Amino acid sequence: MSELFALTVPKWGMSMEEGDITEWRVAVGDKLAIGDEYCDIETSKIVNAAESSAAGTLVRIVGEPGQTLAVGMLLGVVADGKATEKDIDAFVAAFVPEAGGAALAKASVTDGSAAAAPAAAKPAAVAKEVAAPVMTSSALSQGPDDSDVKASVVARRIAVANSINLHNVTGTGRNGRVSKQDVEKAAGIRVMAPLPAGTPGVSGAASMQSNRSSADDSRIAATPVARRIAKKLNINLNDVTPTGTRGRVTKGDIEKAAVALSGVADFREEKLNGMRKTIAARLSESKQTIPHYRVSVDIEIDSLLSQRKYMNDELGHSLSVNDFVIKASASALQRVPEVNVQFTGEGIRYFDQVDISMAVAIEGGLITPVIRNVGSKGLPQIAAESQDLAQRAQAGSLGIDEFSGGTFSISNLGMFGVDQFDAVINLPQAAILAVAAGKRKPVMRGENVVPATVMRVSLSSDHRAIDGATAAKFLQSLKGFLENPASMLL
Amino acid sequence: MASKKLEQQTFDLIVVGAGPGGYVAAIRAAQLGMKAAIVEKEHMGGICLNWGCIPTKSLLKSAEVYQSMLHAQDYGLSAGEPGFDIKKVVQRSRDVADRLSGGIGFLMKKNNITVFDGFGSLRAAGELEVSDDGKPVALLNAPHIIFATGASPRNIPGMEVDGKVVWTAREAMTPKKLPKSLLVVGSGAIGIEFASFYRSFGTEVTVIEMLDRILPQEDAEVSKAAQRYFKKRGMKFFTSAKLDELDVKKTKAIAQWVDKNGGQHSESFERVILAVGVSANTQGLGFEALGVELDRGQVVVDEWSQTSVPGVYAIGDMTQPPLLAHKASHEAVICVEKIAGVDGVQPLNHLAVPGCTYSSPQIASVGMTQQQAIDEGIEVRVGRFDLTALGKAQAIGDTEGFVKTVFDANTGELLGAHMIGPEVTELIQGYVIAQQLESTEEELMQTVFAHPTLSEAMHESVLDAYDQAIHS
Repeated sequence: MSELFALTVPKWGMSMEEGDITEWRVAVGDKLAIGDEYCDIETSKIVNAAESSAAGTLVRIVGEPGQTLAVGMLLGVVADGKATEKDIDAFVAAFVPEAGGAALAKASVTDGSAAAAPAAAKPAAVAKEVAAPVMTSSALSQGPDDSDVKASVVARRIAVANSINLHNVTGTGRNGRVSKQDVEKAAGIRVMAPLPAGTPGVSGAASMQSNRSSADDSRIAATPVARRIAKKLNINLNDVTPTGTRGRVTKGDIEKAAVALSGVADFREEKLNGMRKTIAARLSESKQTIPHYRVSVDIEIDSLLSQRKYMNDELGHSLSVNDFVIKASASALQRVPEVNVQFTGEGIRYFDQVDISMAVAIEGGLITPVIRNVGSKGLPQIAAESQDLAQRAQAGSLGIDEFSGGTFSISNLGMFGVDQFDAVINLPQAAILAVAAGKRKPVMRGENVVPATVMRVSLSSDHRAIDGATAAKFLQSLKGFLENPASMLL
Repeated sequence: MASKKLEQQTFDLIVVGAGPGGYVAAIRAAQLGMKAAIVEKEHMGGICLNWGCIPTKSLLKSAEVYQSMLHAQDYGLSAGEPGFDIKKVVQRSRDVADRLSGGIGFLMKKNNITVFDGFGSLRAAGELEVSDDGKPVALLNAPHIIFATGASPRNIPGMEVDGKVVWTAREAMTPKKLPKSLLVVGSGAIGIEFASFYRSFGTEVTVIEMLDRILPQEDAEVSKAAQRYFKKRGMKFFTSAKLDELDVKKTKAIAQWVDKNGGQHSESFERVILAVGVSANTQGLGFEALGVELDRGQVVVDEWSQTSVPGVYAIGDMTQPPLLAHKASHEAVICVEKIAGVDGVQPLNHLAVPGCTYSSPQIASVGMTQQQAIDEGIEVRVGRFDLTALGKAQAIGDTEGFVKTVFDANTGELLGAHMIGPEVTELIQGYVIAQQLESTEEELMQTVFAHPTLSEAMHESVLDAYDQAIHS
């Protein structure tokens, strides 16, 4: 009789609730030692490899690539001897996620965000269904009172009808709100939209779109087929350009209108990956909850460029303009610490240390690795760290601790030659600096027009924590440091 | 020297070919105030009127009357021994054609359309030379030149039409005597109409079709029923069959073919009709030099019949199918009205062009077959109504046939209608109008059909598609 071990979805950090199975590195029958990497899992932040917690032979793969499983759910089974299929089936059926996973899941529930509660899965009721990521209805129905979970009216109605506790549904809507689709996805059901009522004038979809007409269209001349299709597609005939005889709306007109009104001709839809989901949720929340305002300033960087050239050409460094911006931002934040803050709702946190998150575009999204304690670091070290972090961000091999935290963000689109842009604040931070390209421009120097390289930066701030004068002071300080780089040595 | 004498005239619009496409184009142009000319090398009215639609319908009427005479006792009537004189039957059809051809000439005169006898060919865009017997007789200029020169029977390589034993439609409609045996190669509308005509007068008729069913353009159910009815009338059919050889002697031809099971056949026929389709008449029109684009022999045109060369248009059988007179006439009107800038001109919906076969029983259809609709991915509702259940069909003693309707299950649109039986070529128009008006099953159900008429079958078929038929 051999012993069977469960391989489960690991929890990489407090915010991880689920993972997308990307690829198995081993196959059934392969030997595994403790610590062996056996499966790639994508979270909202990174792709990482799960390490085996047991030694033996992989005898069953439960989590297939493409599936999204909650933390603690069963990925596979390892045996340290011979195991019959029957034994494995029984093990899978009886599997209960570890207390740790359950506790973490519970913690997520209490902090208001939705999470699966795998501990509730009763082995007897599960049997074969465990192999699928869909939870059983009994598991979905359990949990504390869900009246405080944010959910759409329709989502709540479907949940009630199907005995689903909303705590067990991952919300992907605005501010983590549970949508109809979320409930359907969690329960593995599909609720069709009710057909529009047969009475003219009732047009659900049409009335939801503000640019669509909801006026009575029963007097618009249309062929019977056109009228029938329009009703089916919820198209108001007032929104259709007629081309038929005597101004009649024809079938062809409706078909054209259907394409036009949907606003999309041909499209393909890609499922959101973990990163895009996070970007969507976080930035929506930021834009919707933070009173953003922006202050801009033009910075002349000719002196910076000539000093950088000397440092790079003569001293053998490889410093980018952005490294100077990172360093100068830290210097400015030290001079104006009222910007190195976070708004918590109950108070404002002032940070002693400057940790700068730098936005790095990677395939399918972006990530913000953090350079810690920038104030204490010199330019060469900043350059080395930023280069290393950017490269590993591209490779998807950053550790969670390397992109978590941060007290201030910088987003630089200078390499695309943009004149100026504004950035959305990276929650829970209170300010982000948007850096545009340095361009040769005529500037007034006294009474004379002279050429200069001008770089526009724009600071987006959370007005709850940072007032306009403070932001202006920060930019003034930043401009001073960048126009006089040597002052950063002070 | 010759070119000096050449008559040179300028028009607003010139039409080449005076068939049902060309003469209609010329009349519509004249109606819209254009100075129009028409160039015709042979007969006013074209093939349709002289060697196609009209004379064959005259012949088929004679056949129908003869069949009625043979069945007089079924109706409680008696007559002398029925007989026929094929020469007189043919003469009647020629008289009808001549009368109508003369009528077209009159219409040209009435509309002040200048008629040029001869062959028209483009010398340049906007410049048409008319020649007679290869000699140029006129040089015409117009900013718009519409070609409507039709199509000619296609030949099978190695099987020459000698006009004596091996016929095309033209010889088949002017027989001097009735053949005892006849082979019809090709089972499209033309082949089937001649097969039906000759069978009516007692000829032994065999039909060979390359595809797996006769009347392959029709709905499969109609093809099947038609073959069954024709077989009952004593015709023989070989589908999925390949004619290998035609050995033409002085008074007969020996045909060799392979049937669908691979069986070899060799049989002698007194006459053979080749009805394997037509090819567009584009030779000698000056298209090549001007760069008028062709696709597999057919002139490529846009929805307004404009060719690849501005100012040059093509309508009717020389363009894309269906190759039908009424399609040519309709394109003529659309083309001319578009040229004249008439408001609200609608392009032709090729799916809404009805097709008719005047055999006995008749066959008529419009729109998509059930299979075509399914191939388009449309969920269909299909209705059928058999004529045996119809009072009027019983009264006239002609109950062979049915009416089939195909609807889009989601929109209720009438996608197609397929009919076989008495007078269905006259009935089909009801469905064509319904389709043109984009009716759904509701309007058709709510329409009152007179009783007793054959058209009631059309109503019942629609009702049947929605499980509401009364008499089935």
